[in-house]
This record gives sequence, structure tokens and C-alpha cells, in this order.
Amino acid sequence: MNRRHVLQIAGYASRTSVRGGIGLVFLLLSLTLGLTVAHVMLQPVERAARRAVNPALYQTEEGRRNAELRVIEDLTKPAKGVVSWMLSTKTTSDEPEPRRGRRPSGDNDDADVEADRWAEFLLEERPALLSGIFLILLFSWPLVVSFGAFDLYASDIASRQLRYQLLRADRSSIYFGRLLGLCTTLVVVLTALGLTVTLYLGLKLGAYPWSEMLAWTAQGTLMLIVLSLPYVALCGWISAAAGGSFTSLTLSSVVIGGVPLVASLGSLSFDAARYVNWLLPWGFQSRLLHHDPVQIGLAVFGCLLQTAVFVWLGHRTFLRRDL
Amino acid sequence: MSEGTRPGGLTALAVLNFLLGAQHLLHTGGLLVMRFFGDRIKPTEVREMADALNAASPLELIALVASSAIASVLMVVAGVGYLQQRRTLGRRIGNLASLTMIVAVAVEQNLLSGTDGGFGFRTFASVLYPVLSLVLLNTTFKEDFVR
Repeated sequence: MNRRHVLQIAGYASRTSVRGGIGLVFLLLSLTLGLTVAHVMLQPVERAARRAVNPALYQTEEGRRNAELRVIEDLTKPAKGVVSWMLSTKTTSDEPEPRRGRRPSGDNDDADVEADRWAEFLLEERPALLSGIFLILLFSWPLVVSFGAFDLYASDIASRQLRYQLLRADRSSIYFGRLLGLCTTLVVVLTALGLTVTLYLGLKLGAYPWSEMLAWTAQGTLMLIVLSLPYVALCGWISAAAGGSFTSLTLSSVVIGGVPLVASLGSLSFDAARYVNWLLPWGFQSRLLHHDPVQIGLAVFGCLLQTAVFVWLGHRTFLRRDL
Repeated sequence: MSEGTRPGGLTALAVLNFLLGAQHLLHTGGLLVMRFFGDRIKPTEVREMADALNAASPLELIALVASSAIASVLMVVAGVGYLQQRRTLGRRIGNLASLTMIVAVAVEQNLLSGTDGGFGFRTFASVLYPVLSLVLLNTTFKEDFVR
């Protein structure tokens, strides 16, 4: 592998990503997703705030801001229970009463307290609407990633065009160069997404200070970038193994969307099936927005570990396959 | 860039131009329907928009319709230009279409501010695409208009 070749291929891939239709559609899809989520979160707040005060007061900056803050507070209280339930890691099975000899406050109670604290952090200590947007993006973004990453190698393998690149660069340089190029594009797209959502929220809603929103956006965007890595690596592996771009897109989407589906359906009859989620970051990705830095560190480590495994598998496939 | 090698992104941009141009025209038509049949509308949010349109002067309404219609037509024409990779019909008209679209959105916002049709998701989405088009036409696809 040649480091200079890798950087050259990565630079070219990221520069020309939008020139291909896939890159442009991915960019627009990402921005539309972010704006739609922000809009869905914001519209009820805005409508309720408008009804909460008289129109004359709503026209003034302070009146609107106070009304919005009040509505957000009112909405946050019932939402806290839902978010806490979503984040709770306790088992779903109907466990019997604590067995004799075990202390009454078991793991489930600890999990409840932990989830309550986590929900409080997201909804009260950080801008609640932005936290909601990031939570939704955290679970919808993996499904979008495949649209940007499915064609890393597949169409060039199918059309046999990679042979011409092999005259000038080795397989490893091509593999890692394109992967790095896509990661660079993702960083740009996610930064644009984060800024667009914050700008929309900031201009539309005066309830949160800009500094607070920008700081939380920076962290959320960074976590989305970390989260994207294993999914990109997985798509790279599938793209290197598949015979065509359509097959690659289908397989990537089915695998990424299928893992949580199998886990949730399987856990209805067999509780241990929920561990299927851990094959991909689905099982722990919500911890990227945890209040405890140790939990964030573990989640980041999990993402990086899975990225390393998928990159290794993809590289191995790419080196051995017929190009 | 040689003739006949149109980048996929330019094709995607052309398709989006057709879709968004048509969508914008339909949206303006909807606003006009709202303006003239506003008294039959019941939902409060839509009613507010109809009232705002009713309160607008004839000149403001003409500006809204004209800017929207021009922007929509230019978007479609530019789309054809993108597909044919024509310098004037594609790049120049494309730039003009993007700027006109931004103006059309600004005129609409001026009329509908304070209602559900005021600054919001649609405004952002409507401005985002022309801005992105302006950037792409003058950087990424600058050399692709060869005819």
C-alpha cells in the first residue's frame, strides 16, 4: 500500500463525489432528512407557543421567546418518561419477583434510575429539541448512510473499470483511498447537516442561546460521524463482495435495517435475540449521547472496533476477488 | 470535458430542476386558490395564510405570481440546458433560475410572515436547493457545459 496513492485517490474521490448522481442525491437526502426531523420536532412547539399567548405579545421577540420556553418546558415533562423508557437498558421479559437472598432493588431499578438521569441530561441540561433531533438522527442516519456508501467499488467492479486503475495503484491503495474519500465526504455532509439544522432551529426558535446550541451540535455531529464509520465500513465490505451496485444497495439496506428488525421480532419469543443488535452499533449507539463520558468512550470504542473488523473483512474480500 | 460525457450529478440536478420547478408552480397556484377561495377555508392555520394573502396589495400579489412563474419556467428551461450541457441555456439560465427562485421565496415570505406559511421548513428547503445549485454550477460542473 502506498500512502501517497491512498491520499491521492481519497482526495479525488471526495472532490468528485458530487459529480456522480449518487453523491448529489445522498447530499440532498441527508439535508432533507435533517430538516424534516427538525421540522417535525419544531412545528408542534411553534403552534402551541402561538396559541399560548395573545397574538400581539407573540409578535414581540420577548413574548415569543417566553411562550416557546414555556411550551418546551410543558412538552419536556411528559416526553421525559418516554425518552427514559427508550433509553432504558432493562430486560423486556416479565421477570418474577426477586429471588430470596437478592436485594430488592435489582439491576432493573438501577437501569431505571440511570435512564431517568440520562433523559434529564438530554432534555433539561442540553437544548431539548436539539437532543430530540439528534436521537432521531442517531437511529435514522444508519439507514441513509447506505445510500452514500453502497457504490464504493460495486459499479466499477461490475463494469471492469477498476482494471485500468490497477495499472497505476495497488488494490490496497484503491480500497483504502476510496474509503477515506467517502469518510471525508461524510464529514462534510454531516457538518452541513448539523449546521443547517442548528441554523433552522436558531432562526425559527429563539428559546436557546446560540452558544449552547452550537456546542451541542458540534458534539452531536461528531458522534454521528463516529457512528457512520462502522456502517460505511460494512457497506464497503458488501460493495467489494457484490457483483453490482444494485445488489450492493439492496444488501446494505437489508443488513443495516434487518439487524434491529430481527432483534426486536426475535426478542418477542426469545429474549436473548435482542443481542443480535450488537452485531452492528444498533445495540449501543444511543450511548454516544450519554451523560457519562465513560459510556461515550465505550460506545466510541465499540464503533471503532466494528469499523476495524468490517474494514479488515472488506479489504480481504477486495484483495482476493476477481476484478 | 468532451461532448457526450455528462456527469451523473448534472443529470440528477436536471431531474431535480424539473421536479422543483413544477412543484413551485403548483405551490403558487395553491396560494392563488387560497387567495380567491379563502372564505371557504376552515382550518385556522390555512385560514391565517388566506387572510394574509387577502391583505396583500395587488402589486404584491403580481410580484408573487410573476416571480414564482418566472422562477419555475427558468428552472425547467435550465434543466433542459443541463441535459444538453449548453453554456447559455444550462449554466447561465441555471444561475438566473436559482437567483429568481431565491427572490420568489423572499417575496412569498414577505407576504406570509407570521403565519404557518411563513419562515419554516419549506423556506429553508426552497432556498437550500438554489444555493446548492449556484455553488455546484460555478464550481463542480463549471467545465461541463461544453456546447
